[in-house]
Amino acid sequence: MIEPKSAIVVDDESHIRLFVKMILKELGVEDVREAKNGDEVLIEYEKERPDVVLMDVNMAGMGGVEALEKIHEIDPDAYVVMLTSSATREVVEACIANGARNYIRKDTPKNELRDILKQTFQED
Amino acid sequence: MSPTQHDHLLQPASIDYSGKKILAIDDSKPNIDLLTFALEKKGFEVTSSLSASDGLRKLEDCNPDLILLDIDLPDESGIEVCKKIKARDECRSVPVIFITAHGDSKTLVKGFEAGAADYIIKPLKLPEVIARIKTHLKVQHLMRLEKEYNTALKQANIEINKLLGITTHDLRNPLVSIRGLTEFLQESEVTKEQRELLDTIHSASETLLFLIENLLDYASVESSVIALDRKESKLEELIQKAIRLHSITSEKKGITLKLKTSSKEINPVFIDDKRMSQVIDNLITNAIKFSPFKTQVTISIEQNKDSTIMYVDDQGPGIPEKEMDKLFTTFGKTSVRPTNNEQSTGLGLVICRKIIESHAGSITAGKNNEGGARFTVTLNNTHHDRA
Repeated sequence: MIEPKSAIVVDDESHIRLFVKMILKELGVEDVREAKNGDEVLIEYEKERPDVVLMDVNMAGMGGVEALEKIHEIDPDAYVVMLTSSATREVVEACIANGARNYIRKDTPKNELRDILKQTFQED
Repeated sequence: MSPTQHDHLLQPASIDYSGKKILAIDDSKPNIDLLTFALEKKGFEVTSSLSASDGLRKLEDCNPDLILLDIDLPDESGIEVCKKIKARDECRSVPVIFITAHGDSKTLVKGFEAGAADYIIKPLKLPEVIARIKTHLKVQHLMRLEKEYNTALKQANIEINKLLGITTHDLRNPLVSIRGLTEFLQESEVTKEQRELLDTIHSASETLLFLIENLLDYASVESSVIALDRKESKLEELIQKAIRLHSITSEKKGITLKLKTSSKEINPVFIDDKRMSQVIDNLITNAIKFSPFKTQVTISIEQNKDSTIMYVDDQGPGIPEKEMDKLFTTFGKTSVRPTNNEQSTGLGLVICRKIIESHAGSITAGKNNEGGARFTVTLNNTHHDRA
């Protein structure tokens, strides 16, 4: 169970980053940073060590699954939740296999997305 | 490749016969000389042979567009030669025209059965010979064109569906944000007028999202070729995985997902597990959608010598008898409403059926003992790809 106060949101589309940022703020996460891709999040993560990372699976360049692996190399206990536009099974399974705490479809309605995140944070 | 740029070729007069190659096999030298002279005058390229063996040998290098074949050859019967010719892949669409002195029906039938396209009766009447040759070449040409069109069309279809898939993904994300950010605004302090505007924006974005969802599903149904990657798989494991994946959605409605198998060990089945998982996901999603809160969805497996059967049962109201036939049709939806206002495009079951039928299996819908819906997937226990 965590009560995150800081986060990094990673997605190549800025409106998605804003959307997720607002949801996190509703959940009491005050310090939300943004990253546009895998390379950026690694730099941010190393610097900031946030409580949680919300990351898109489909990104140009280094994809979400690879970035997920690399974040765990920096910190094996990193708390990462993956965001996906289309939950194809292999992707979902790869995320879970690589230690993501959960995966959430980006097109989940806002309140539901917030509740799923809240529930994820509350789990052990 | 646009069909219109080739339309003019479909007119008989404009087929270019010059350069078309004819192989003539006849042991009568005068016949050969006559044919060669007449055909070359019309622009055909003629190769000739006086015997079956020489003819079959020349066939390799010559690559003819059409073959004239004497039924009475010295070293082998023309019927046998015809069979040999037609057995070759490259000669499948090459017309073979028999030259025969025998007009009797029996011989002619034998000739056709050996694969001949036509026959000419000796003594040769040149205008008739040429007319028949031209006719067969025209038909051959048209068949080739049709084959080209079909290939081009299939390719175009694949490209379009790919494009459809890519475009809809790009369209979806911004819409998700529009809807989501609108919701944030709706929850903040706004005037009555502003609320009305926001509600409209929200509803419009929901509509668009739903339509895009439709498009994506439709594209995947239309890309009809489902190539299967089959291997021995444990069906129970696939189902257990699916149950885990769907537990979040089902728990929200207090619905339990349960796997039931008989006490005997279930042998692995020869399936494409990615595709089968798609089917299982679909059936479970539907069961959850149409189940009342706090009920159970049961997936069970039975196996006998010939088949492996999977049942997905829910405790909902079941599918109305007279709407059964709507179920597996494109965009077909029944009057039963989802129990938590979920949306449905009506395409999931069509895709399921396509996948199961590609496995040479079957999927049907009916009622279970409790009056709920039961979907039955039957798979053969064989290893043959009968799709």
